[in-house]
Amino acid sequence: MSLADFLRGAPGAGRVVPSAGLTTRLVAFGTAAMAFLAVFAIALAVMLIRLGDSWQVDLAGTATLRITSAGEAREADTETAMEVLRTTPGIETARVVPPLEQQALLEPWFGKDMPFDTLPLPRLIEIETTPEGFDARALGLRLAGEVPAARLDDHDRWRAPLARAQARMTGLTLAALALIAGTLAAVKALAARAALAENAQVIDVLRLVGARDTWIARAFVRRITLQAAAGAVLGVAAAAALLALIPGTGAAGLPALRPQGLAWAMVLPVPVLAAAVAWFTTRRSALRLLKGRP
Amino acid sequence: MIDLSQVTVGFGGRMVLADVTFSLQPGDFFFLTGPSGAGKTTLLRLCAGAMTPAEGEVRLFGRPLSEMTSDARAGARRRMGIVYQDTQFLDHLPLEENILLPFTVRGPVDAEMRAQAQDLMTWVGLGGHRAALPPTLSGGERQRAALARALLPAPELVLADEPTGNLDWEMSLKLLTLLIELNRLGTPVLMATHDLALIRAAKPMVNARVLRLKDGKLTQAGAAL
Repeated sequence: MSLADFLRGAPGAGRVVPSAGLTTRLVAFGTAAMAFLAVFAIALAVMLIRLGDSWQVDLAGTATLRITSAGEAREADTETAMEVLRTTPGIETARVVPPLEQQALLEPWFGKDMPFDTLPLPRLIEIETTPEGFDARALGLRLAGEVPAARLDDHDRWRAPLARAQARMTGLTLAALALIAGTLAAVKALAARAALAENAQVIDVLRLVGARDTWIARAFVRRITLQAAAGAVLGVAAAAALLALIPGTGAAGLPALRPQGLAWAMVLPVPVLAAAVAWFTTRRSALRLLKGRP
Repeated sequence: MIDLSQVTVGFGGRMVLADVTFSLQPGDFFFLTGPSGAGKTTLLRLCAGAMTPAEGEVRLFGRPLSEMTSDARAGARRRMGIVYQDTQFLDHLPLEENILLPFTVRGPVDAEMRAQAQDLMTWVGLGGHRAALPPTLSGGERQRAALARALLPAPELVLADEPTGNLDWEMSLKLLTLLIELNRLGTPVLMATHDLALIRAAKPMVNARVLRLKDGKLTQAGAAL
């Protein structure tokens, strides 16, 4: 039975299986639930990818230089460091972070009442790089010679674990999608078994009048697959509606779970894939079960 | 057309058919008699390829049943008109659709096939029940419908298990006459029945033989009626 045969349907085959069976209703419900979960898994994956990308982009073009010396030496070291940075290829701009801005960065962590002026805070220099970037090793060696109290942070140590975490989370999401597809396949295999058991008399009658097993299987497979597709459409629609209600911007600097723009297109194949899984699994189970039936 | 050679069938340690040899050829008309549980239905199901024997060989249209795929068995059943005792229908389909099933499983049903079904339904007295669902019919009506369905595709042979069990005498004779007419055209018939009056009534109309099943053994009750 090819997909074309399935789509065309055997003449009369659709009517021979009772439509109101419990199995077919459960198939629709089960597939709707799986499609719903699949859409959320996809939305989560898209959100993680966007989050990772935005963080990496933010970190990729910047670096930070800390001047850890104290007292008058700090100002002199800062001047020297700025001069070094100005003459380093690959650095677009370098800016000394004013003490008030530095305090503003720390206030969320320590509170407003913290006497920042009494703390031995390092002086920060914010660096923006050109698209080509700079040679961090060469800069580090030069600073070590001219400003020993300077510490260069090119953010690589933040980016690498972030990329690893992003890859792991994306992998986990894909595993969740595979698990959903596997569960869907198992549900369909059970549905085929239940439908055939539920309709033992139908099979007996069809065999009595000379129906081939492929014809009988087609009748059941078509019914279950169409139910699965309908359930998946409902599940996707429900999940999409729920996602659409979530605000487009996320909290605390996180991107929103709601897909943006073309990302919505990623959920469209879910009903088709659900129907394909249903068709393949149900057909295989039905033919195997019919073969084992006397 | 159907050959059983030294066939043995048992269920749960009980021997139902023991070393049975039987052959159904063009022009044959057999009545199969015997007490309830003697194995008449089992013999008919063997002939229909619906079960396989524990021992012995069944051949359908010259091919060993044991070597036939499920598709081949289905193909053989398309050449038979089969009526089981528990007349089987799809309860959710109208009677006419049930009677058309032998055509439905073969391909599209056209107007000519539908007209044939309607003629046959009228002939067996079910012309007014085309849209009725099987569970709403009486036992006799269901039996007539089952026979109509079996005969609709002009089968090469007929296997009928107590086809007149729930019918009144007049309708039983009418259906018997139909089977005899088919037999005269060369269609072999194997009909299980315990109605000796019906067998006697057939005597002037057909050269039928009577087989008797008892204790798993098949014997011929006489060269002719």
